[in-house]
Amino acid sequence: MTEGNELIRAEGVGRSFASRRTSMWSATEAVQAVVDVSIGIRRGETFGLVGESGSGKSTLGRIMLGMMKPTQGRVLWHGTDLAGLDPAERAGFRRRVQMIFQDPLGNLDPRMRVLAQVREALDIHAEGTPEERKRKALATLASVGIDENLAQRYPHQLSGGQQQRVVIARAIILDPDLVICDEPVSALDVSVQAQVLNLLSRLQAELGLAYLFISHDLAVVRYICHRIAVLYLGRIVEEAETEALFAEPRHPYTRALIRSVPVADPAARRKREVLQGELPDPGSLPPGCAFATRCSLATDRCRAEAPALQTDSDGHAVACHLVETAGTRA
Amino acid sequence: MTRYLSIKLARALLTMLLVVSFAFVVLRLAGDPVRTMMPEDVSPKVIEHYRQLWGLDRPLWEQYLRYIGSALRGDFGVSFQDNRGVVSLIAERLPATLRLGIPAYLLAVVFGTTMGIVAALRRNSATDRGMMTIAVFGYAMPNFFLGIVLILIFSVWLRILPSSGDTRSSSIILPMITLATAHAAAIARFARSAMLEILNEPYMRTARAKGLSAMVRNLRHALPNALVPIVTIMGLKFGHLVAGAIVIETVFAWPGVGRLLIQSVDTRDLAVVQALVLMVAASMITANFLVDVFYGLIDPRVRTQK
Amino acid sequence: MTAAEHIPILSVTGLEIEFAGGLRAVRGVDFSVRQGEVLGLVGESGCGKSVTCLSLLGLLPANGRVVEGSAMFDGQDLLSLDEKRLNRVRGRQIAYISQNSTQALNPILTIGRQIAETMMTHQGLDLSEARRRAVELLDRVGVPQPSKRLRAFPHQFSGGMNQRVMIAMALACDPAIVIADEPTTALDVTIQAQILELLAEIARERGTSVVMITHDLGIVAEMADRVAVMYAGRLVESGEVTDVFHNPRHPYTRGLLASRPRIDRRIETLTTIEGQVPSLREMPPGCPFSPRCEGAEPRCANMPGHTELDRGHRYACWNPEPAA
Ligand SMILES: Nc1ncnc2c1ncn2[C@@H]1O[C@H](COP(=O)(O)OP(=O)(O)OP(=O)(O)O)[C@@H](O)[C@H]1O
Ligand SMILES: Nc1ncnc2c1ncn2[C@@H]1O[C@H](COP(=O)(O)OP(=O)(O)OP(=O)(O)O)[C@@H](O)[C@H]1O
Ligand code: SF4
Ligand SMILES: [Mg+2]
Ligand SMILES: [Mg+2]
Repeated sequence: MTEGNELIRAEGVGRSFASRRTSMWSATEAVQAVVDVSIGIRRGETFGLVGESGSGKSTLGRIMLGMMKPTQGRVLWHGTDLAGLDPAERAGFRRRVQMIFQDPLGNLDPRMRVLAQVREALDIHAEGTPEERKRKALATLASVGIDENLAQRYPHQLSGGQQQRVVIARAIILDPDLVICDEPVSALDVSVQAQVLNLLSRLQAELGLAYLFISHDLAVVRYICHRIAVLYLGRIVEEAETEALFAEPRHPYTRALIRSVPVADPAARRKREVLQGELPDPGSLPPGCAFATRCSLATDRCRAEAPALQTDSDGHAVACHLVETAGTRA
Repeated sequence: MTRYLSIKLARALLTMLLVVSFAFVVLRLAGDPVRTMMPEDVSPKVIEHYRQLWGLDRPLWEQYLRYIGSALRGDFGVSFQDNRGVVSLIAERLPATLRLGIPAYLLAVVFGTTMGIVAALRRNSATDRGMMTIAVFGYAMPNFFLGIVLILIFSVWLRILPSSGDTRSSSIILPMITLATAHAAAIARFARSAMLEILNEPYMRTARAKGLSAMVRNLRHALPNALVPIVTIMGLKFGHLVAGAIVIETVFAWPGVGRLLIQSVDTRDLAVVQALVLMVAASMITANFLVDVFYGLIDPRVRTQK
Repeated sequence: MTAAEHIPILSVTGLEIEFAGGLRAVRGVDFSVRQGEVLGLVGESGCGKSVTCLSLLGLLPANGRVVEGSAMFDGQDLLSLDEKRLNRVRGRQIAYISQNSTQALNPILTIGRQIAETMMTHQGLDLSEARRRAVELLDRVGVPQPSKRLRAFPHQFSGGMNQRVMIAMALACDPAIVIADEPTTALDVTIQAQILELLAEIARERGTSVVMITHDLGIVAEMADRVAVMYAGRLVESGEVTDVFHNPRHPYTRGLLASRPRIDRRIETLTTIEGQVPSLREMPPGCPFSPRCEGAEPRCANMPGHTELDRGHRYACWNPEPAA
């Protein structure tokens, strides 16, 4: 992997949460939400994080944003540990990395006109004259398809898609390098999702943005991401370039995940191969591969020993004993 | 469930301890009790004598420990007014309050919940509107006013019921109705909104979609769920039993603890006031605990909580 | 398909639903459900899928009512039945499975009780017999250790398990039609696949008709025999799944198909439908899709009627997309 032009890199990042105690006297048990994750995002690329609910996508996103401290490992911003940034560098980092959440209404102030909310970031950094700030805010809103008339409204007077556009405008107005998008289209109507996805692609081409794109929707991720990491119970089970991942998914979980998604084409009707069972309780995982409880190919070794993530020369990484023993370009 | 209950019990006891301690602090902050009670011109010697007698010359922490110790033994001191033990004084008055309060409470609970639930089941009907008008009326009207109106109608005008005191078996009727009305009205309004909320839950639609009769839906699916919030307010009202008696007992000259409280405040009989305040607090804390027990019984989410 | 399978067991015609304030949520909807088929009812949020189906069982919210239309089922019009007669249809002949099963189950009653009571109501079983059947049903829908789970409460189950319980409940009286209202929307894809598989299996095995409400065209393509596409309270296109997906004639259907990224192939740029769904208050006159439609013409200000093609393929559009 070329690390030269990487904007941000997670190195062996882990995060555990103290979950509820099971009795008044027992110790709190820890839930490992993210386990030993290493990923790097390059300038201008869209890096996808997919996985089921509770797989640690949002937690990892928050760690990369510097909003949450990892309990293991570290996050490097242009090669410097986030924890070691001095206040000026930290302020710079905060400008260069922005976030978009799933629920747009929850992230907008209901009592403030959207124009003011988009302008706010400029006001905080006291950039230019008030007149210039207003012009820039309007221009940014226009670039995401919100005209002056809509800009004067309050968030609840906009549709869900328009609200998400406002959130996007707010995220890009400071010209960031990286935007962390946590399920940015999941709450939107199907016909509006495409609008927002295309908007994100266009902005990337125009502004050279990089995205960390978090989603549980594999079709969306396939459409918008250059590189994808598949998370299962906080662990990366597979990471590859998008086309490689879909052309040749190697991890049994990735394969099952892809096969579980219904295809909108009756001619492509496939025999469903349903993944049995449900996610095990992340608080009490058996040793070995986290996927072993649901994997149809699991062997005794899988249940005893956790597979390491092995990367081949094309940068396709898999954590599965079977892939390893099959002798894939390790 | 055992764990749940032991936590709730521990919490109730802790609250009680806090309340008792708080009463101690407030009392000490209120100034030297000896001076408060003695006439202005009494000699310092007398004051000193009483200070020693009541242990007020000791360090504060020692006073506190003694106080807790005697409170645990059920000793709340002596009334300054007539030099009798506070506990026996209260014990003398309490039965009258309970004889009035408990039937009034039961009446309020039965009428209040029934009215609220029926109103919710017939929402927007004439029944609903009628009942809620009555409830708002009963809730808004001050207790003493209702009491006086009832006295005017039944004692002064119709002359069928006694107006005050506890002299005949029918003496209890007017104060009981007065006391029950406000509680019933509050419970009815609350029960109605609790029940309405439950009726709008998705699982109530499921129950309809299954073809269950209205009876089964309301009795088995809605009511137990609605009882959870309703019981909360019933607990609250139970805790108010003693506190709520004050006004009524005054209006109807009922010889209960409410009257005792008023009298003691009047004469600055701090030991009695303190004990009564603690009693009110204790009844509220007990009610709260009983509500928690009930939650555990009715709601599996609470019961099976780890 | 045999001839019997073409016989509609439920035909809805001219359904109009209105909410307080004169808001027409559903306008002139016609569709039918045939014996043993899976009918997909698709459309975006708020287009009227749920209220259409709820109205059939008399389950509309208190501020909504059916103003017109009929729904013939088993020789009677469901829309004009009284509560008592409806209760004989609900849960017995037509069962309803709702979205978000965890909220749709009563939190203070055991799973076993909730499944058993349907059978006790409709089949006159006593509690122990109904419980015995409930164990079989739970086993049938793939709930592990069914007899133990009978005493569990909904909050002790995952969303997927609760959805299985809902399905077990729906199947209890072996209904002719199961209406599944977005049964998998709140679930993870792998669990969604399990639930869809289960529903498909049941439809196949018992000859139960399934009305599958969803906004996911993928689910329709994989599950359904026929599909009805709704937009802003109107049915804009319907027909056999292959006809509608391979030869969509309504611009909305075509737009919807093109605006969804696909998992099975690489797409350079998604086609989008500009604008947004109009709210009930600002519904345009005529075709509801006209403000967003690229092919809109002046006559689109009048409501287009339905044009019928082969195999019952119908669309409501003045200026349809060319046939494929
Ligand atoms: N603040 C927290 N305290 C305790 N546990 C947490 C906290 N945040 C997350 N978790 C746990 O960490 C795990 C990962 O959660 P996370 O929100 O990152 O998942 P996710 O992949 O974003 O899921 P979703 O798709 O549901 O958003 C879960 O088991 C969750 O319960
Ligand atoms: N109780 C109600 N009061 C007023 N309007 C309602 C009510 N319930 C539904 N509606 C309106 O009826 C229309 C159709 O709603 P419905 O719930 O059927 O949509 P849907 O297609 O099922 O959408 P979703 O995919 O979000 O479930 C919507 O415009 C909605 O606003
Ligand atoms: S009727 Fe007109 S506006 Fe409506 S879809 Fe057809 S062409 Fe478009
Ligand atoms: Mg998340
Ligand atoms: Mg719906």
